[in-house]
Amino acid sequence: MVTTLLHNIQRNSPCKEREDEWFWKGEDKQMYSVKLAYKTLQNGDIRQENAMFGLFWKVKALLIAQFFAWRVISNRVATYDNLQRKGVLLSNNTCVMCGINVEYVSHLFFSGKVVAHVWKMCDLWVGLSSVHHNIVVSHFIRFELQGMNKNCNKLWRCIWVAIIWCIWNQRNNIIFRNARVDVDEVFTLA
Amino acid sequence: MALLGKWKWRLGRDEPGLWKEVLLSKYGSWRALDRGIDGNYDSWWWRDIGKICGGRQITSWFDRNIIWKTRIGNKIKFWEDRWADETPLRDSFPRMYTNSILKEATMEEMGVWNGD
Repeated sequence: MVTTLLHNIQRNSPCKEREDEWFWKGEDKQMYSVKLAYKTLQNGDIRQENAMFGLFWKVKALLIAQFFAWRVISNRVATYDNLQRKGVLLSNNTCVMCGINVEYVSHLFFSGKVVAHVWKMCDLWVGLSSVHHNIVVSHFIRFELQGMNKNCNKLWRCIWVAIIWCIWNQRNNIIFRNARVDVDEVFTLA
Repeated sequence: MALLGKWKWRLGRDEPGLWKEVLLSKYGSWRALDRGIDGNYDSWWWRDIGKICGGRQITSWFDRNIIWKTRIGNKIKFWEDRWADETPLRDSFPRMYTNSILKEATMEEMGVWNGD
C-alpha cells in the first residue's frame, strides 16, 4: 500500500518556481469553457435525473400517492431529520419502524429493517431477486437497467409508488394512532 | 450551472482582478465555497456558486473535472484534492487518511520533496 502511494506521489514531481494551478479535464487547452462544462453536465447526473422524471410522471397511479412519491424523490417529506433541520423540536428522532436509526428518507423508505422486508416481499411477488439501492433515484429505475420487458417495468413503477405511499401511511398510523409495526399490512395494502 | 461554474474556476486560477480581491477579503479563499453556508453573512450569489458546484461531495461535477498540477504545493491539499491520481489520496488510501493528523494540510505543509 505504501509503495503504491509513494509511486503515485513520485509521478508528479513538482516544479518549484510557480504556484499550484488547476486545469479542466477534456480538451487540449485544459481551460474551463462554458461549452465544455455544459457538455459534462448534460452527460452526467442531470441526464439520468431527467430521464427518470420522464418515466415517473407516466406512471398511472393514484395522483396523491404519485405526488407524495415525487416528494420522497426530492427529499421534501416531513421525516424527523427534515423537521429538525427546520427547527422543530422533537423529543426523539429515531425511526418508528425499526426504533434504532435516525429517520431520514432513504432509511425510512428503503434501507430500514422493516421496509427492506417489504421490498423483498414485493420482489418475490413479481418473481425477481435483485440488489436494492439506497439512493432514491436508483431504487426507482433499477428495473430499467435489467432489460426487463415493457409491461413488467410499467407494473413495477406502479407498485413502487403504491408501496412508498403505504409505508408513509403506516408510519403516520404508528405515530398518531398508536398502530403496531406490521409488514404484512403494508404489503397487502399496496 | 455551466455559466456559474466559471466563477469558481476563475476564483481558483491565478488571474488578478479587483473583484477577486474583494471576495477574498470577505471569504478568505475559494475553499470557503466547499464548506457550505457559514452563518447568514454569505451573499446569495456566493451560496449559489457553492451549491451548484457541489461542494465537497464525491459526486461534485466540478471537482471531478479538475486536474491539479503540482508546483510549489501551496494550494493543493495533500489528501483531499485530485493531484496524484484520478481519485484523491483520501479515497485511494482511506486507512492512512483516517490515521493522518494533517487531514486538511496542503502539500507544502506535509513535507519537502527529496530529489527528483
